[in-house]
Amino acid sequence: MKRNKIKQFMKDNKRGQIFLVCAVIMTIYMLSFINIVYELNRTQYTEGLEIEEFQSAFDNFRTETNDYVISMLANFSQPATIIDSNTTAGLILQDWLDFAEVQMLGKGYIAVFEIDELIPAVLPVELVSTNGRMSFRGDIDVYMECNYMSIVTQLSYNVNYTLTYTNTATNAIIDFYYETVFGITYLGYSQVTVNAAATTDLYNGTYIYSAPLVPGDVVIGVSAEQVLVTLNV
Amino acid sequence: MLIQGGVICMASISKLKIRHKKKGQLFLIEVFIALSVLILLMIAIYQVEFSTDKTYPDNLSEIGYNTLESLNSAGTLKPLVYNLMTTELADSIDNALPENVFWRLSVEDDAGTNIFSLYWERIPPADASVGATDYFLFGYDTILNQYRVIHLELWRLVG
Repeated sequence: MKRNKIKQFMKDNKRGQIFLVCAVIMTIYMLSFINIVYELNRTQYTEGLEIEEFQSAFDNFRTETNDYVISMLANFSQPATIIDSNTTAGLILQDWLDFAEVQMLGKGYIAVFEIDELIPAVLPVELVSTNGRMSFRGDIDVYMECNYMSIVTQLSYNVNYTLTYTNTATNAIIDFYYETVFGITYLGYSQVTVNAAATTDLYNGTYIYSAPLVPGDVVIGVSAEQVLVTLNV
Repeated sequence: MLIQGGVICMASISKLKIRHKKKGQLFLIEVFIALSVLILLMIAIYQVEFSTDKTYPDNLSEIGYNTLESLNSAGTLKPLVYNLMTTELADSIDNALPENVFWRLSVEDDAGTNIFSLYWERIPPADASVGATDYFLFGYDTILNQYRVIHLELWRLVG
């Protein structure tokens, strides 16, 4: 009789026991899930942070290299330039790239920045000064790597600072602009002189001189980046 | 006999009804408990998300980089650094950063020699999350070979 009662009790409570076991398993499962979500979040945040810093470092390098190229052109255009040949220009540029490599290594990234020479062993980069034009041409191979990603690209430069003019009946309209593969950017707020006399700046890259230009006139344009372009009419 | 049999039958029916009622109540209680557990766990998940945001390291290095990058893009960073205009540089950085962010800065050349420092006497609290960024410059205008590395450290005043 007593045995039967115990059996009956067990039978009646079986469902409750199963439910309890299920609840415990479910709780453990949900806690594990919460932990996984937490860890995933944390890992993704760390990864995101490192990628952001990595891209910032690359942006810093790219911005400065873009400016460096213009500064090289500016230095080359000045009378007291330290760049006496394209080979020297290549050495100076590579010195900057080596410095940038060291900075990247200091941040824990692998970085290789090399000039992709225009003509191997002959012409690393090309700086040209002609009448009314100052230009730079060169390519830089970029490889950067951090724990989560790598950047393989090439920075290609073909920059031309140009001075042109159009005579009208009463004056001369002088255009000062630089040209890249992306298009033309007119250089307002620069200094443009004709035979050392000032011109009127229209602030959109156009400068007005009070008389038409004649052979023998010398037009000099100096951009905000100190790139100096000379045009002998 | 018949009446006795009928009474027994009625009793067994009512017992069955009670048992069914009990089962239904038990089922309801089970459902209620299961729903409570689920709701509690859902709340727990959201609690974890809210609390973890605060324990993550703050993205101060990115804020530091953006500050220096914006100053450089505006063309103000290089004149201030190369002409040693430290007061103006400190003002520019103060204006660019949120008010609760403290910072200190040092500028070195390519050989690692210190050119100047700003607020280097500030020591970040031991429990503070410190963000650091190194921003390098090639030179200024036609000067090509005067490399500089700006080392900026930031931490929050509260939290």
